[in-house]
Amino acid sequence: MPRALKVFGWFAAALVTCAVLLLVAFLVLRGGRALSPELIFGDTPWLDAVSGQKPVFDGLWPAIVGTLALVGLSAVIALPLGILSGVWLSEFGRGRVGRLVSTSVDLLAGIPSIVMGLFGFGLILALRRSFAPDANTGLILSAGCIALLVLPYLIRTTEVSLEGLPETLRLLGPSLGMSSWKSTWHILLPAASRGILSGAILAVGRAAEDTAVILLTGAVASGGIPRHLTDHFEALPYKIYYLSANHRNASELDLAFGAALMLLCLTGSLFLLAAWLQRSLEKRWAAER
Amino acid sequence: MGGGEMNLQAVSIDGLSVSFAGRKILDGVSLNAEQGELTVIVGPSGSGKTTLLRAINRLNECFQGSATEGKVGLSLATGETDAYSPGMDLGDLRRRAAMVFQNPNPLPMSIERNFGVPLRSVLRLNKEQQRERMERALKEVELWADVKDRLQENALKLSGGQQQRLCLARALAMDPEILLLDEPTANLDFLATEGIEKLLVSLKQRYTLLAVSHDLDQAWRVADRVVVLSGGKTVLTLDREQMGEHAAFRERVKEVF
Amino acid sequence: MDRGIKIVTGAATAVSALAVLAILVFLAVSALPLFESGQFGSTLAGGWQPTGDLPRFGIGPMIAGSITLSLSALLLSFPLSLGICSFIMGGAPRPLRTFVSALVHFMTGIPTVVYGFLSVLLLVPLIRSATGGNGLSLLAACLTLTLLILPTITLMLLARLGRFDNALKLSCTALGMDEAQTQLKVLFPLAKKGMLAAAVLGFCRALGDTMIALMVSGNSPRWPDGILEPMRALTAHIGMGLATDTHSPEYRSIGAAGLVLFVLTGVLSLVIRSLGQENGEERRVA
Repeated sequence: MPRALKVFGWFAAALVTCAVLLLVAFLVLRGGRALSPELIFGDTPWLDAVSGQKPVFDGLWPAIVGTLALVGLSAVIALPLGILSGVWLSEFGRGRVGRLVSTSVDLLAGIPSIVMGLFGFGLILALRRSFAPDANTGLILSAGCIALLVLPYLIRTTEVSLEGLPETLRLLGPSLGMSSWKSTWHILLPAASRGILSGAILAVGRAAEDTAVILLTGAVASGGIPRHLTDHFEALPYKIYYLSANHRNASELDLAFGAALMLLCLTGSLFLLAAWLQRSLEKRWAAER
Repeated sequence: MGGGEMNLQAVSIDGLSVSFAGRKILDGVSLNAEQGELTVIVGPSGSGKTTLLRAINRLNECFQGSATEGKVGLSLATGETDAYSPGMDLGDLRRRAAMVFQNPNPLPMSIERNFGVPLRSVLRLNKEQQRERMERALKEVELWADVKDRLQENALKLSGGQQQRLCLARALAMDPEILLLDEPTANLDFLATEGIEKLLVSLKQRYTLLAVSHDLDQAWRVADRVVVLSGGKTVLTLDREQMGEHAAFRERVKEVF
Repeated sequence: MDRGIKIVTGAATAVSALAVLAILVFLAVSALPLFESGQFGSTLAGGWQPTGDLPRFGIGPMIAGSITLSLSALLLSFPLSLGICSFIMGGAPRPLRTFVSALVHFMTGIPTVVYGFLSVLLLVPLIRSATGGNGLSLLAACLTLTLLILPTITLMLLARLGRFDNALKLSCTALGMDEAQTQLKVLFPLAKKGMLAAAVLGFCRALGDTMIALMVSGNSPRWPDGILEPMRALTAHIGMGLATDTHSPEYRSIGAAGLVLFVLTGVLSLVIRSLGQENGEERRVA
């Protein structure tokens, strides 16, 4: 029986490795072929495109800008909210209220992204029927819903990073006469910064790759660069989804490949970076204990 | 030890050098442990005592970057052999040279399963054989009376001294020929320590015991031979006759520390 | 100063904690007409036939589809994850183990839409040519989903099994047990709760995924009736509903679907939470 486990372990590792390498190789080879300035800017000269003077029709530029804008906005909303909540849970979150909050965060983490999108959509509907009849789906709504989506990651990693610090470090501040907040701000948070950073990077990666939320809250197949917070916008993941079902010719398929490759590189490296940061934080404090 | 009786060298180590990731811990160590005797290894912290012990059952190889040179000769029931010979079956080696650790480490399961798991996986004994060996081993360490009515209880519920006896019994149940004891009483209180020391003295009739100790007084009390390790080398070896009086012994050992 | 910060962080926490409540409220409200007209039960259990004399908007097939899909993905993925976990913790050469571990970590970064995309282009045509059917099917979605949830399960298993400290493994080795024996006879039995939690987490992840189901399952709103037949998942059903009139029964069915998903994943999240500790482990502080 133990021998069977060993053999199966090798088999499983080999099978999955081959599957993943196959998929990635296919994407890199096929997507690599499509990489070119035309992929991003279409027929429009790049200077005009970047400065916003001329629209790009057959390129990924608007989707890239849309994704960046979306991620940036949701980060602005989610980072302070998530980190502060994580601090609260770690410092003040003992007892019944703390457990309730913790349960609530776990529930939030389990909510499927499409349900989050449905929430956003329902929100707009409610607004339309009451205060703001002109309300429509758009960038800020998507950013808000994505912020909710990544909030649990931020809260958890902040909380875990702070709790993972050795006891001696926690006692240092008070032993020097510092108030609870001062020791958190000056000693604990900097010490846990790597873990918190890895959580932030994870959140950014998650925000960039999500399709289901933006499907219902404002992403469109071709809408140019969003100029206002309430505009519709393009995004890389949505572009991939749309083109995979609706491509009319080979060059549109190329667009999809290029987008997929770019997105994979982005999220793959972000997640690896976050994992590396997390491990180096653990190693550092494991040695100190 | 009676006159005229030729004791075999159960363990004869020659020119043993062990390093981890390039750092040399043991440098050309030689040591002989005779059958039916209790050999105690002492030395300052960091002198490589644990590494020496682990070289015998090749546990050093579980750690990254370990490199071992030299000979660890073992005289077992099946004949003479080198622990590092190419075809050596590690599972078998570790059964014959059983180890007890400094921190009692029973498996976090019932007392019964603490025996059942290794007896079944390594020796493939059936339930009856397991039960028989467990009972015998627990009697040998004088724990049977305490636990015979609660074999299903979690082993972690026993006291520190009892847990260490359990670990010893577990090692004995494997039917070893050599016992490797890494500071077996370091984390026990005074009474438990006394108990274990008495036990070890009685066990040496049937097994060869090699123990590491940080406590010179303990070594003086129980050892048939004392080996002093310092800076990765053996600097002094004393037989029982050579150990002499307590105070003189302490002085002599401290000189070479 | 101390008090001020307690208020600020407390406020942030309140927002985070209440979000769940807000979402629940909105979902319940959007499905409210169904409750009011007593149609909720039939919506859950009934079939989907929007056209014809007696249009029905039941999401029963979608619920069955989601559960069937997620369960089959779990059945494939869990053994593989356990195998990979055993491999990574076992006695294979270190470079290989590190590589596989890094690969699994990398897999967490592959977006589900990319999985779906590659599956449409590679797997679906493969199934189509091998079986003569459409290709868009339960099988395609299941295989792709298996890859998606594999790193989730593997990483959780590794985390749980890693909680047992090295002294335990070392004492097993000293007794003469090899890697596989130690895992099989000691570690796995001790980590039963962790293994269950990992399985539930994987199932939950599969249940909540939209893009793979949307792109390769065929989206046919019928009761799942064959591995090569198309089906529709709850998540895909919601994703397709954008074009519907929001006062229509179709929209209400989407609200019901959202509610069902919320409740299902909510219960599963609580189950995972309750499986937090094994016997013989150190208690976490909070």
